[in-house]
Parts: sequence; structure tokens; C-alpha cells
Amino acid sequence: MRHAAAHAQVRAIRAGLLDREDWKALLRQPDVPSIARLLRDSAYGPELPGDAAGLERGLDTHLAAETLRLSAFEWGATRALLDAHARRFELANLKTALRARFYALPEEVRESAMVPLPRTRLRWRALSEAPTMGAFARLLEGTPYAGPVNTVLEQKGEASAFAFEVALDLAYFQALVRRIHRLGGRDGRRARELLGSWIAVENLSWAFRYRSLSGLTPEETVNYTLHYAFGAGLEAVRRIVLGATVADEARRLGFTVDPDAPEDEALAGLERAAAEARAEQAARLFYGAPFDLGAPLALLTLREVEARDLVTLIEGRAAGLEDAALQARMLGPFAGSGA
Amino acid sequence: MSMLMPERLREVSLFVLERDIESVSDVILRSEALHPEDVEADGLTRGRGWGELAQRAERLARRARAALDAVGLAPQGPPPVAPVRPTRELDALEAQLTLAEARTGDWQARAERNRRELESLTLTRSQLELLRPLEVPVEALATLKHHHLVLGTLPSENLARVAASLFMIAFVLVPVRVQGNRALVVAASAHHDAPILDRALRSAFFEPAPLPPDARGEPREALESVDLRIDGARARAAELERERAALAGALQAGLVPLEARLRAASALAGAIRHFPSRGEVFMVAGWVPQRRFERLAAEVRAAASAPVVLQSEPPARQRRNVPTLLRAPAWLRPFQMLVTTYGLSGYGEVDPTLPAALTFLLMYGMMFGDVGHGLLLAGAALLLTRRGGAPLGKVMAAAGVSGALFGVLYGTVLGAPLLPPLWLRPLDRVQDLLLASIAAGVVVLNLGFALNLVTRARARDWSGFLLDRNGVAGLSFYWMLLGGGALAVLGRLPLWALLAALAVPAAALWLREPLLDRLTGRDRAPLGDALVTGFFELFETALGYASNSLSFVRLGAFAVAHEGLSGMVMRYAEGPFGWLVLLVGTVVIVGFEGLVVGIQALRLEYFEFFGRFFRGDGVPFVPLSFQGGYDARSQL
Repeated sequence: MRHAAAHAQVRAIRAGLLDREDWKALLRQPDVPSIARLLRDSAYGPELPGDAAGLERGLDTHLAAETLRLSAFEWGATRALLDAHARRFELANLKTALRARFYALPEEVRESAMVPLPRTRLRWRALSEAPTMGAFARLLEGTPYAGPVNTVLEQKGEASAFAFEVALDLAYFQALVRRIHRLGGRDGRRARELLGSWIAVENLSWAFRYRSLSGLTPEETVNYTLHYAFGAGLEAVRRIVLGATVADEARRLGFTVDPDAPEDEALAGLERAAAEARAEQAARLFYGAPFDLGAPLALLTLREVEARDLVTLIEGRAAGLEDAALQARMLGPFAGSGA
Repeated sequence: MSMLMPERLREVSLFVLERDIESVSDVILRSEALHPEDVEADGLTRGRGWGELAQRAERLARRARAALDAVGLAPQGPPPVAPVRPTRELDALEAQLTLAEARTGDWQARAERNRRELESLTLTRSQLELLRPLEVPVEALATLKHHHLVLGTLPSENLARVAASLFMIAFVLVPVRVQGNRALVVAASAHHDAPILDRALRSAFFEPAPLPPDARGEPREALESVDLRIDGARARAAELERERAALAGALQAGLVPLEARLRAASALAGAIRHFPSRGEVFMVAGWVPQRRFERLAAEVRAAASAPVVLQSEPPARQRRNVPTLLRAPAWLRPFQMLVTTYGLSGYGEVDPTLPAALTFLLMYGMMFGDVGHGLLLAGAALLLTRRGGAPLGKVMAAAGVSGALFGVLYGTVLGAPLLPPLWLRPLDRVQDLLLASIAAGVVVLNLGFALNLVTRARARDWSGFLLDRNGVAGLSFYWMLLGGGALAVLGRLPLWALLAALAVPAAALWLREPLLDRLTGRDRAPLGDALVTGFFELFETALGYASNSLSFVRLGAFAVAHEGLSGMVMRYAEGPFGWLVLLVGTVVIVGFEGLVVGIQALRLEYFEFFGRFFRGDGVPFVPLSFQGGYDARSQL
């Protein structure tokens, strides 16, 4: 019975998912401003800004707000998990603020990357303009981010944005993994099904990127990645630093990617395959039992996929892509799942 | 209906000459009556020339806050009385601020130096302290011939990580002691693997523990001299704190109002920066409560030196994203939390605060009916109200009073049947109570249907009004099932008549999608798909109506459980330590059962009642003000 109220919210929100008619109408729009006008009449409307420039950030704002709205109807470990899941946007903003501080990004650049968030205690402008990392850390006091930032600060001083980003990423995902492990029974199973593969692919992406781009030692790569990541933890990272390919690791997770593709493309293919699998699983769980965490997580997964498709549509239109090319990049089957 | 609908708003556009935009904006922010709206149109630019001024005002406001923080003063106060004019007064305000900063700056520099010295000494001390268990001369650690050895601390949680990462070399990693969240470790490897070991440790946030250069012998000898220097730094810190208090007293009268004025200037310039303009004309667009519109219009005209063009109209029926300003009277406002926890009603939606409050109190009282327990809960809630939990406390107090009133109907005081029941005793007439619970549920569900019909009618959504499962078709289906079913069971309605009566609303619900496809001319889904989906949705609807109604059985069930539990406490209270049993039992009943009953009542509100008519996706009305400025909306 503990998920009944959240399930009622899911039922209310699910009517706001875009249906086939909405997608057809969106695909008919010739440019981004007309897409923006249409979206303002959708469930995303309240969070979208007046101009078309901030459209993609508005979609993320909606996702964050919706996650928090569902978490308000949960309690205990499931609420903690949804709250942590909602914090991924806050984490992304924090990393933007970090880069803005280190690389003195102009105000308009950093604002164009920041997602306006509901219920955040963080002061983005003050963080972006913090004169020292000590001041930055003080602004984070009382938040889950203070610990990792202080740890890096104590050990590496001002260091580089990279060290702080890694610490923040690791702390966030380790906490998320712990929260998932804390869930028992069907709640735990649903969380592993819908969030587990996302975390696994994130971890693999870090490992491959650290291996190929950053020139880190194998030991550093192992230390900068998750050791528990739902099938892509320590052993996978060790295999990667010793030379495993994306195709090898994808196969172990049950996905197929082109073994001859360049690593970047193969990683993108893996991310897409995992997103598709999550969306299919979400569509199955959406109408499942109302008394576990499946429906709220499934709704959030479908909404995330929908937002991702909208970003594809917006960027594709801005770049002048044809409809066929656009649809090929979208995770189309669930355009109609809200119908 | 007035209490059931959000405040009526007007969509307002003001066209103001640039020379008046400051004075007009001052009036708008001061009135806190205009929720701004982003407007896009060809040829309009945003806040021409005001970006730099807004940034400067914000920087100054931040500096003023920092100066307040430095001496431990808090920002406070209402917006300034005198009109705010950033274009004219920022220079003078900056000069005042610079003078104040000069006084705080010297103190801050000395305090910062002392803080750093204390930190450094404390760190050195902690490093020496960590080494104390080794009991070996420090210089001996640096003279190993065949091994590379390092000593230091790392986060305890990283011990396993660093060990896992060193899978390609031979190494030793010995935790010596764990203090707080850090572990003192000794790590060693062969000399040729030293770079690998060092990088791996660094990546696990290892902090080497170098000793002061002159450290010799065992660590405990060095600790004594460091302790003396720490005492000196602490004494200086106490003296600096006294200086700070004196400085705060001297600066308070000037710095606090200065900060408030800079904050207001920043809010005003920040708002103007977002207003679009063309040539010399600025456009201020937004939403204003209808009852405040005339007054705001008069104030705006009075503030401007040139005529202001003012257009206003009520929102068009299909207009989306109109903000919502609720207008519940003061006594009802605490109950808004029951609604806003779920969502905020849209502009065209019914505000369900009043029906939610009434149904919540009805359901709570029915489940928690006892004069004594209800009054105890109300008393505890009033205490909570005095300690800062005002809205929740008031809702709990009302719930307690409702419980007490139902206690009069049930005739129970602290679980004992001390009063003659005005209605029934739950344990004596369980079946009657359960039937009454379902009846209460039917009332609540029908109220939900009615509110949905009102919302749909106001939105001119006639297809939803007629064909939705919570519209006329759904309501008819529900009553045919409930009333017709009851009559059929009693033998007063033949089965064929019941089926015939059900056929019309059932067909409307079943064929809803194909009907709407044809009525609205939208792209048609395949008829076969629509019929199959419609059939299963109809089936789900019928089951849903039954389960929704039966869900209210819990009202009676909890009332029975409440009386049973209370009676048990009273019986055990007649034995040894009776007063203790009575005390603990009553606390458990009022605290724990009161909470469970509250959750059950909320569950019925949200799942059974709100689900019929309430979307809760409204945009809150957030007016421009000196407190929030333009960006307040993004902070929600």
C-alpha cells in the first residue's frame, strides 16, 4: 500500500505523456520556435522559458520537478532513492558551476548550460563566481556535495575541475547504488531493472573515456570509477584498462554494438541500446502492479526518453535534418506510449 | 463558488517610455501584484542597456551581504520607503559601501590570518597525533634501502578502493588507525613500482603526512611545542571575536539599511533587464489579480511623467500557463497544504482546498472518534502551533476536534463508553458502520465527479464533460452500477432492465475514442485497436468504481479498531501499574494511531477523490517584488 499515493500521481501524470497525435504535430513543425509554442501547451509548459533558447533546459526542469513530485508521495528508502535520482540535474549544474569557476566562463555561457531547478538550496551564481574553492565548498555546507569537495580540497587544494568532478560523480553514484541496494523485494528489483543499466553504462563510459582520453594510469581509472555498478563494476573496469573493447563489455551486459565501430560511436551505440532496453522494460512495468516502485520509475524512464527524443527533434530541426533522419535518431516506439 | 476558484486575473501589458521605466517598475515591485510573463515578438529586444546596471547592482548587493556576513549581521527589513532609482543612486551607495568595507576589511584580514595559522597548527598536530602509535623515530622511515614507503591518511571508504586498484603490482597497505572518516595507512612497494603506488594513492585522495622539517625523534616530543602555539592562536581568536561584536554594533545602523537598499536596487534593475523594448518604449507584460488591477493602474499612471499605454483583458479560455493565485480565507489556509502537497490547481481548475478540508476532517473524525483522544490530539496540536508548526498544527487541531465530535456520536471517552452514543457504538454495530463508511465514500466520489464536471464545463471541454470516465458518462455508469445493482439485488429491478440501463453509458465509455476521432476530426486510430482498448478500459473502469467505493470501508474498520484498541488499554489499566498502562497506551493511540489515520485519510483524498478531477499542474503566481525580483519564479 505504501506506493498507492505515488501511483495515483503516476496515473495523473501519465495523461501528460505525449501521444502519437502530439508527436505527429511536433514533427510537422518547421522550426524550433513553433515546436516551442506547441510544447508550451503540453505538460512541459509550466517549466519552459519564454524564448526558444532555453527549451532543452526547460525539459530537464520538468523532469526534475516530476521526480520530486513523485518522491513527495513516497517515504523511507524509496523516497530517498527518488530524491537522489532527482539530484542528477543538481549535480550537472554543480559541475557547470565548477567549470564556470575554473575556466571563467562568461555569464551567458554558464546560464545557457544551467537547468533551472525546483527546490534547490544551491546558489548557482555565487558558486560560479566563488573566488576560491574554499568559498565554493562553504557554499555547499549542509549538502551531500560538501564531503567530496572538501576531500579533494584538503588533498589537492585548488587542483583542477577534473578532480572535483570525479569526486562529485563518484559520491553521487555510490550513494545512488547504496540506496538501490537498500531496497528489498520488488522495489529493489524494479530499481535495479530501470536504474541499474543506466548506472552500468555510465560507469563503462567513464572507464573507456579515462582510458582513451585522459591518459590516466590503470590504477587511477579503477579509482575513478564505480566498483559496484550492476554488472559493470570493478571486474569490468579492470578488463577495460587491460584492453577490452566496448563490444566485449556490451555483450556481457546483453547488448550488441558494432565491433568495428570507432570507440566513440560504439559507446553511443551502447548508450542508445541500453536506453531502448530501459524504455521497453518501463513500458512493460508501467501497467504492472500498482504497489511497488515500478510504476513511478517506469513513468520517469518514459518521460526521460520522451525528453531525449524532444531534444533530438529540437536539435535536428535547428540543424535542418530531414524527418526520416530525425526519426532514425529517436527512440520512436514510445512516442505513442502515453496514448 | 468564489472559494472554489483561484483568484481571477487579467493579462496586462504596459507600454512605458524609458524615462519612466524605473519609477513604474518601483511601483510594480512595491505592489507585489504582477506576475511577469516572458514575451517574444519580432523587433523586441530585452532590457536594452540594463544588463550592466543590473549586474553592477547585484555585485554591490553581494558585497554588502558579504560585509554583513563578515561581522555576523543578518540582512533584514522591509523594502526601502523611498523610491528606488538604481540609475541615480548606485554611485553614492557604492561609496557608502566602500567605507563600511574598509572598516570590516582590516578585521577580516587579521581574522583570516589567525584562522589559517590555527588550521595549519591543528593539521600539524593531527599529523603528529596520527603518528604517535608508531613509536619509531621519524627520520628512520625515510631511509629504507629496497622499498618505497609512504605514510599518510586517506578516506576510510577508499581503503578497499585503492587496494582494488593496485592489481598489477605487489604492494603492502596497512591501516594503522582510523580516526573519524580518515584512516592512517602505511603503504609500501618495490622502488621500481613507486610511481604506480603514488599515483594510485593520490587518486584515492591520499594525503601524505609529512612532518615539520625540524621533527626528530618520536612524534610525542614534537606535540608539546605545537600545543603551546595553538593556545596562543586560540586566545587571539577570542580577542578577534570581541572586536567583531563591537564592530557589528557600530555598523548596524548604516550597513543593514544599505544592504536592503542595494538588494532592492538589484531586484528592480534585474526586473527591468528582462522587460522587452523597442526604441524608447519598454513593455511590461504579466498577470495581475483583477481586484488589484485598478489600483495598480492608477499608481502606475501617477508614477509616470508621460502617458502609459495600458492594455488588459481576462485570459482567453484556451490560454495555457496562466498562473494560479489561491484565495482561501485565513481560516482555510492551513488546509492548503493538503492540496499543495499533491499539486497546485491550474487557473481554470477548481481549487479543492475547501472540499478537501471538509472531507479530510469527516474521514479523520470517523476513524479517530473519541472525545478524550480527539481533545488530547487537539491540545498537542495547539502546542505544536505555538512552536512554529502553525499550518500543520492547525490542521491537526481541527482533526482532533473532529475526532472529539465523532466521539460524542460514538459515546466514548478515552476508550470507555462514558457517554450515551448519539449515533452508534462502533463495536456494537459493525455492519451499520461499514455501510455508513461506504455511503460516505459514495458522497466523496460524487463530489469528485461534480467538481470534474464543473472544471470541464468552465473549460468548455464538452467531450470530456460528456464522455470522460469522470464525466457524465462515467457518473451515469457509476450510478447505474451502484443504484441499479442494489435494486436488482433487492429484487426491485429486473436484470434485463439493469443491463439496458447500463448499456448507454457503457457504450459511451467504450466508444469514446472512436467518437472523439470523428467529432474532432483528428487522425483516427485503427477502429479495431480502439474497440479492444476501449473494452478493457471499460472493464477497468467498472472494477475501479467498485474498488474506489469499497476503499472507504476503511473508515469504519479504523473506527472499530480504534474503539477495540482503546477498550483494551482501559481493561489493562485496571491491573497493576494501571496509570502507566493508561499513559503509554493513550500516547501510542494518540501519536501512532493518529498518524496512521491521517495517512489513511490523505490516501483516500489523493487516490480516490483528487484523482477524479484534479490535475494539480498549475503555475504558482509569483509577483515581482523587492524580495524575489524576476528570477524568483525559477527558484520555486
